[in-house]
Amino acid sequence: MRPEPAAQVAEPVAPPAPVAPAARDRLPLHQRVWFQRTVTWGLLLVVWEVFARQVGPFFFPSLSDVADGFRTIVGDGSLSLVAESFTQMLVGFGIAVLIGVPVGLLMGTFRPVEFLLGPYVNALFVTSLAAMLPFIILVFGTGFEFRVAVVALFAIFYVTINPANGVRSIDPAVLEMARSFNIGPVKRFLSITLPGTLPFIIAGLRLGLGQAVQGMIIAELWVTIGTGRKLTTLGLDRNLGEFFALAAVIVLVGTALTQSLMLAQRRFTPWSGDVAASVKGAN
Amino acid sequence: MASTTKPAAATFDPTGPMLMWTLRITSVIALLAAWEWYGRKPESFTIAPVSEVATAMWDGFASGDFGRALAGTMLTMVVGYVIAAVIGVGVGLWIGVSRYAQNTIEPLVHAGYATPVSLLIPILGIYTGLELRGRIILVVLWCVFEILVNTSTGIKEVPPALIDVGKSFNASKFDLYRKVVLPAARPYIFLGLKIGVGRAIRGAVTAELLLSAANLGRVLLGAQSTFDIPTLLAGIVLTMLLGLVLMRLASLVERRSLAYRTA
Repeated sequence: MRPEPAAQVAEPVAPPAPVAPAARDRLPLHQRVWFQRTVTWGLLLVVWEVFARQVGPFFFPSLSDVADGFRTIVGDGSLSLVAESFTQMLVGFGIAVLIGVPVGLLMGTFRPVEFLLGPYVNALFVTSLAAMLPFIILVFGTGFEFRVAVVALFAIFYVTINPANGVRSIDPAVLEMARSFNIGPVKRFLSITLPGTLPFIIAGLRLGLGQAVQGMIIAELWVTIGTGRKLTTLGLDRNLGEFFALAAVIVLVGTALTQSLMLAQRRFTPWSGDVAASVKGAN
Repeated sequence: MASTTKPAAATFDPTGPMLMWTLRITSVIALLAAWEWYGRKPESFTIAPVSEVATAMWDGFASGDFGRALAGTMLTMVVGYVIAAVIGVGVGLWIGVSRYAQNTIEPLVHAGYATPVSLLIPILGIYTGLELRGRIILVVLWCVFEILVNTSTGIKEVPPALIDVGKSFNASKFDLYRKVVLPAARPYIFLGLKIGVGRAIRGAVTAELLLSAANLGRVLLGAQSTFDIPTLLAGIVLTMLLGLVLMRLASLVERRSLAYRTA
């Protein structure tokens, strides 16, 4: 049973008072995190299993189907296929970062750069890049370059726009003060702009990485190659246990990559997420 | 002409609007000229010159193909977006205010947020069919998590001082949420809704390209399969312009809704 949410509405942002471990232990059982998770997630799994048994494996895989599927993909080498796909994705993502972040910083710092590139970057950021796929394939063919190009294209505008916004978000008074203390532009950049922008950069990387994985899948589905080919085949065969297992592996790898960026954000820019961190820390 | 000696100093300001616009317009013209020049070269058969693309765009609209495709894509997008906005803001608010939802639902949402929705394309048809319903569901999946995460973040990032003030004025819990938390979270919520528009367009186009060829996706795929490069490029430009215009509208709505903050 789900506890009535309204009954335990937390004070929106109470946690800044650091929750001592002792205080946490005194929470009633039904408010403890592990208990809520066990009950809710357990219930979801039960619903999943019952539903799957009702409709059968050709419509929805049961948990044991997924477990079997996982054993199969571990056995038949599909995991190396996934590793290969992610490696190619990281190449494309790396290209996007190497171009995007510096361009973003330039756009944020120099108004003429922003004025020239801004409209293009913003336009490409918001529109559907998938529309370009039929064209990219004509230019790059269906091989490695196609996939790298798609990934880079999907990620690059995220890793450009966020640093640019970050630079712009810096309080001009701080920069002005630095200037009045006769601090040179390089030092200003290194000790004010860059630290102030870092949370934005990392957030951009995180979003860009998500897009890059998206691009990887779309590219591979498009030319039916690698992991994408495997997914298509499993879907057509209605081999849903294996499909869900493989999809879960991809999601887990993607999540691990994103989480590592989250960790980086908390480690390198601890000042940026005080509120969010304290909310999380209270769990 | 000769009398420009006095204001010369002013026009030399590197951030002067005159110079900036000159730069911008020059860059656009240079870009189009380079495109035209490159497209006319006989060896660059994958790129059609801009003049042919413009003709193809004209033909596409004259025959009604582009208009119909645009309308169809927008319908898919709008329906999916509205569904996603309702779900996203609703669940996002719940996660923002409920410790229970933060403990149990939020990890699942983050998993969903990290999930590349395109993964589902090979099996989505089993559950939704490949036609309009499937494409709408894909749009929903494409943008719902963005809206959801922004909403819950907005609620969680309300400055504690604001809540303290509300409490010290003896606001009831309901009033605290309605008059303090929600307004303070609005920038985030609207940001999520704005980004959601862009993602909805991406979702719609991806669905029309990969799930089942339809509307703008069909225009693009048809042009690609017949190697009709001018129409292909015109279709791409059209699709991107659609996204651009809708996003501009979303920004406009966002700015007007938040105008009270800067006023």
